[in-house]
Amino acid sequence: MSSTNTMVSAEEVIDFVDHETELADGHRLQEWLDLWNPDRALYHVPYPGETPGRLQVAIIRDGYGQLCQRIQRLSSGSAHAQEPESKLCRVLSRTKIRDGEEGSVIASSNFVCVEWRPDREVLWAGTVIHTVAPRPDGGLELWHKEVRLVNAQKEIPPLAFLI
Amino acid sequence: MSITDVAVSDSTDRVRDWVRPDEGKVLGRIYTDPDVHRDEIERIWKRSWLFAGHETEVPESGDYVSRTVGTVPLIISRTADGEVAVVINRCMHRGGNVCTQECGNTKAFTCGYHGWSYRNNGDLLGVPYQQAYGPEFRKSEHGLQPPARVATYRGFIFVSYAPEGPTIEEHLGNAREVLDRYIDLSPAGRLRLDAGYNRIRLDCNWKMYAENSSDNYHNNFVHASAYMTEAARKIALAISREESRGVVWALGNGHSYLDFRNEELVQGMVLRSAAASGEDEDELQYRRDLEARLGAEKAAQLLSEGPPTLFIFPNLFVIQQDIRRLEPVSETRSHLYQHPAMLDGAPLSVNKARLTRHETAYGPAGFVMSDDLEIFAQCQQTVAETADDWILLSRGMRREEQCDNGTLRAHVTDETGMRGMWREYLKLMCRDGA
Repeated sequence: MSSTNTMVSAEEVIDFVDHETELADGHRLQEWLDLWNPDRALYHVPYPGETPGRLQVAIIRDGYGQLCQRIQRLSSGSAHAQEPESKLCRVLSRTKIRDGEEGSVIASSNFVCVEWRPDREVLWAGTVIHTVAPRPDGGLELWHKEVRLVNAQKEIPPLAFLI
Repeated sequence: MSITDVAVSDSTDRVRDWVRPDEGKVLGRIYTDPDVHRDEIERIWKRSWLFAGHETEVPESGDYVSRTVGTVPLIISRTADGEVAVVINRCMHRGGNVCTQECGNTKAFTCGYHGWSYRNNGDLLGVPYQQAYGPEFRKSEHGLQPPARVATYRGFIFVSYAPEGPTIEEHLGNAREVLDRYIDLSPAGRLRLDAGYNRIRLDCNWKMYAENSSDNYHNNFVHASAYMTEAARKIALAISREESRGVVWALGNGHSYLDFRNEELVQGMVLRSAAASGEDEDELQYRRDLEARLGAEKAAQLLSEGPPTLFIFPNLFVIQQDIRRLEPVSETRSHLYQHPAMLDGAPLSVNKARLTRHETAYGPAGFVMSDDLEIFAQCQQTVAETADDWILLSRGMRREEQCDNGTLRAHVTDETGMRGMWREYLKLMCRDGA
């Protein structure tokens, strides 16, 4: 752990990442949405080789407005891709912590996530990068979540849950 | 299967029995039978014009993309003299793979097996320890093979593995003018497919996806969760139900077109899909640039109509913000590639808005696409389990109108486009002597 941020301990960051994981696995959608800072939110699942300054499609690139729409849709009960909800179990490990900008802290972890649906099981894996920062009234909030899937270059089935 | 089974497993008679567009039905087995799939590869995917890619994917000398198109691995490159070359990704020695990367820039491809190297136009450059082949060995006879035919249409690269057949213009037929209206939304008269592409695994037969591309009946049910504002919901509901003034066309050659030009509710709205929302300076500039090329009247018409929803048999589907390539993998699986289509010459904000709309709605995580994918998978599964039951494809048969140019039109929620595809399918699958 190599963060020099004195406002945020490594333990707090890990607890936050664990909590975010638990909410995502459990489809606790509104609580998950409440983790985000509306002014800074970016939920990003890129294709490999994305370079800044060029227009390139991503699997997911949600600002806060789109995050709200994603949660609204998943909460509606009529999103076929999550009716029923996927059963999810993910494991994070090898978390490395470093300083981000403007008082934020970045946690990079490996993850493996098993998604079970009635007609298929899918193994998702890759790196997840959480950028978190302290909230004025205590606790942490989420600024960025970037997920680099190991199989992003491959043809993948629907990715309709919170990866 | 032994070689003595080959004649017995020809699917022609079965296809004739199972595919009955004039009766408005097909049998479930047409989506599940492995012999049918094998024969489709030979009679459709090795003969038709297939969409392979776009010239703007390889803008600079040495650029290449490699991909499987209709079960054949290809490399599309920009050569030193500025041309686009298409070759089969297969070493002429023992069939090894000369290009292992999906994209990049190179002067030469080298086979990993014995080091044979080729220029990106296919010329054989080097054969290690060549003396063994003797003085009569001619490098010029062993270049990478191109597909039998390659044709481009306004930047779209098509290939055919059959040495003879209709020209690309003949194949496009009535769809050509519709495709033009999409491309002409660019102030430069050219699309740019240089923003990457989504890669989707479809757990369904390719024909099930192809049918959906002319399906405007499903929207209010599959995509019920997709409309985030009341205004959007009302419009979406209206254009996809009985009262809609939209039209579906079977254009001939298996192509189909969902035509909303009469549907006032989407006029102007599609401008906001084609351009940045709001009357800001960029949108006005885009409009002015379009008028400069097309004239005010045509520009206004195209902007009002927006990008057409057009399926070009068997593997190209163009829709609001993206261009799609369909590939058959097996009778139960397909691949779909979605290339966001940037409008060359349009302001950055206009293209950024197009890309954002595409990203949120489409791709494997999109709020529109992911529900489609789930429905296709469920449908394929259920059809496979009940394969001797008929699929009803009769919607709109009683109200189709035959038009002078050989097209058929019906209400936009009807299945006329699908029946048009099946008629073309029958022609290709049941040729005499096939």
